[in-house]
Amino acid sequence: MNEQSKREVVITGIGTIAAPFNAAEMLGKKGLKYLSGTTRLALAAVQLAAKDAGLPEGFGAYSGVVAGTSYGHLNSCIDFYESAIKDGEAYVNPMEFPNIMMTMTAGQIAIRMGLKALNKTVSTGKTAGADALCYAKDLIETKQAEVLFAGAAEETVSQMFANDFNTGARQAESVFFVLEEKSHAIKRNAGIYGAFLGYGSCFCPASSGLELQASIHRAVSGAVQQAGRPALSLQYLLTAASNQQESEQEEAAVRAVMNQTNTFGPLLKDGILLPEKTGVTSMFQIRKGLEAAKNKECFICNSFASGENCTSMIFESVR
Amino acid sequence: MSQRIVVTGIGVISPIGIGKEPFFNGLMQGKSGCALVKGFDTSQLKYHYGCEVSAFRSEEFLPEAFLRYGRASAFSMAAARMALADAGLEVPDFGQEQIGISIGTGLGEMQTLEHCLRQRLMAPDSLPETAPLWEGHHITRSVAELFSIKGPNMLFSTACSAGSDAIAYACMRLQSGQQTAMLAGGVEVFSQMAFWGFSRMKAVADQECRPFDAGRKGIMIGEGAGLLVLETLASAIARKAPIYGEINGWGTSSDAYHMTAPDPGPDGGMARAMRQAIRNSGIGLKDIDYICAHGTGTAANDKIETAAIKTVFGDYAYQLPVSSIKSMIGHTGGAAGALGTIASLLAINNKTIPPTINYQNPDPECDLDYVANQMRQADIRMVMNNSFAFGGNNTSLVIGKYDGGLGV
Repeated sequence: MNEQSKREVVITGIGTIAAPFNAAEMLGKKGLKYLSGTTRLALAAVQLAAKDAGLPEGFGAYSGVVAGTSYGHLNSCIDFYESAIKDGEAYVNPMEFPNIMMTMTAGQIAIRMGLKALNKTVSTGKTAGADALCYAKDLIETKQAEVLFAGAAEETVSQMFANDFNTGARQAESVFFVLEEKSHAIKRNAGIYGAFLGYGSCFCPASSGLELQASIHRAVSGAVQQAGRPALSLQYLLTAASNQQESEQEEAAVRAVMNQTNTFGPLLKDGILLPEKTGVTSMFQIRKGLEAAKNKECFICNSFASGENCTSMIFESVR
Repeated sequence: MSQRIVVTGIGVISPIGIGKEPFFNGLMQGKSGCALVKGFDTSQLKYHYGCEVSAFRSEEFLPEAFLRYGRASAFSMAAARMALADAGLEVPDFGQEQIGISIGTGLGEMQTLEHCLRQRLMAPDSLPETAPLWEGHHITRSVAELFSIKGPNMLFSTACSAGSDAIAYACMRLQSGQQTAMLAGGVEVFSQMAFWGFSRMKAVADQECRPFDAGRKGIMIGEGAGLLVLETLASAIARKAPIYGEINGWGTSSDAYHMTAPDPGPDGGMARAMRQAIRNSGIGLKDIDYICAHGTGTAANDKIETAAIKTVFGDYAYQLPVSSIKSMIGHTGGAAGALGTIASLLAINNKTIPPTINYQNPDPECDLDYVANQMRQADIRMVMNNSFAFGGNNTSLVIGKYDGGLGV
């Protein structure tokens, strides 16, 4: 493969959707019937992010979308299956069929926004949003696109499956960022929220508590290494911990990396504001970090769950 | 830092054979995996044939504790076991953190989800034992747990290009130096909902899949898994691993056109993905010796894929052998790109091109060399493997012969 020169990735737009959400008002009624709840949420957030980024006309030619969702197809599957039971399997609605595939979220966004570079959907549980963002960073760095909408969306899970999740019924929410190659953003005088400096990702086995700490250590080390700044000043830790034990392990892991590298400033830990519930949670955290950090301040945002991925991302705020 | 990426291990579960030798022999013999569907009742439907993997027994590959997992997880774990053994790669010795997992799927653990839905619709208050196992990402999780792999764990849900997307992702991880090896590929299992949906879309063939034939009627729904051990060349050489070939590059694109139909325009997504794969590989058009086509057997795909190949390759398209292994194994959805990659690697190493079977009547709009009905001897050095999906998701891989010794 061709040698890839290192490209920097910055955030130039943010779109957030949380309940209550009027899809018809935001997206129009045309074709709405065949968009799943998750797709509606994601599309609305992408539209807001595009507007926020002030993307010029014709941006679709070099832009794409990476969506993270883990339950984005579930309600469509339930509806499709129920219709087969009720009406007969030979009479299911072929227009409803594509929505049982998670790929439809990114696919529909690409169609509606005219995104020609790529459309991808990743499904990695509670870290789906973080993993989508990291994947998008890789894709921009390897010149697959200049601009990518990346984020996550989850609709409210049907009551039939709500008890499967130990955090209870999930809320409908979606956050998408506009990730853009830095020189591209500068050339068009885009407002820049921050730079996505680096990430680390690894699997976090479910076997014991100490595995979590070790996994966070690996992910944070990877993020620091990729960020590649010799004098990185890390001001905030946006936590993914959902209880005291996880919180202590997370802090111990981050501090261990800090001591090893001896490059970080004092660590201000954010409170447990948003316990990790869905793939969207860390997206809200990043938005919060970008809003709170001062110019040139760096923060780390973690996303993890036992038995799933542990993904750690480092951002630098730009004011 | 850019790295060369090689394939050192292969694991296959397919309707025509489990394991690389039965799979390859089946392809070369033009064996069809198509039969009457046994997994569920199709009597109320218009279509009754599919390509199931009827010979698979989980207990032959998995320890007891893992037998309760869904079929997609079982396929993936079994294919991973074969691939790791083939590569001679012992995870603890190699480094648990040095290896990652990326797997693509269209519908994930759909059989398990259907089982849950059946139970819950009959008894809404009951919680079935399988509850958490229907989640798609359980597929990659189960592989990580079974082999104690601690690198990144990614599940791609990009429908029929998912396997190729997972391989492309693995290449990015390896090229960036973040991982030394990746288990990458795709999986799909037979599901009622997919069968109902494709049947109602009238996208399914009656009894046989006939890609590029004038009388083609549609896809034959299939299932299977293909997992590969991808590794940096330096790592493979250091541990004297057998090398099947290289992943030279990849390209991806989005149609932004229609949810289920491919973009027929001259600069449609298929052509852009192929062009980008060639550009990314740093090769010339005439370096490609064979195209392992997406070739689904639908009227639209085969016509538009043919046109896209001609757009990209010009007159050289008429000298390029193009074949569809879906004529034998059916459309294995998220596994298709991975199984195509494996077929391409085996074709390179065995100097034989798999045929397109069931080809009887030429279609004026599909006028390339489709390697009709018989495998062909050819010294192929570089293959383009196409995967195109619902949602206008297109990914092409360039797979090359490895000339540096240690070949298989």
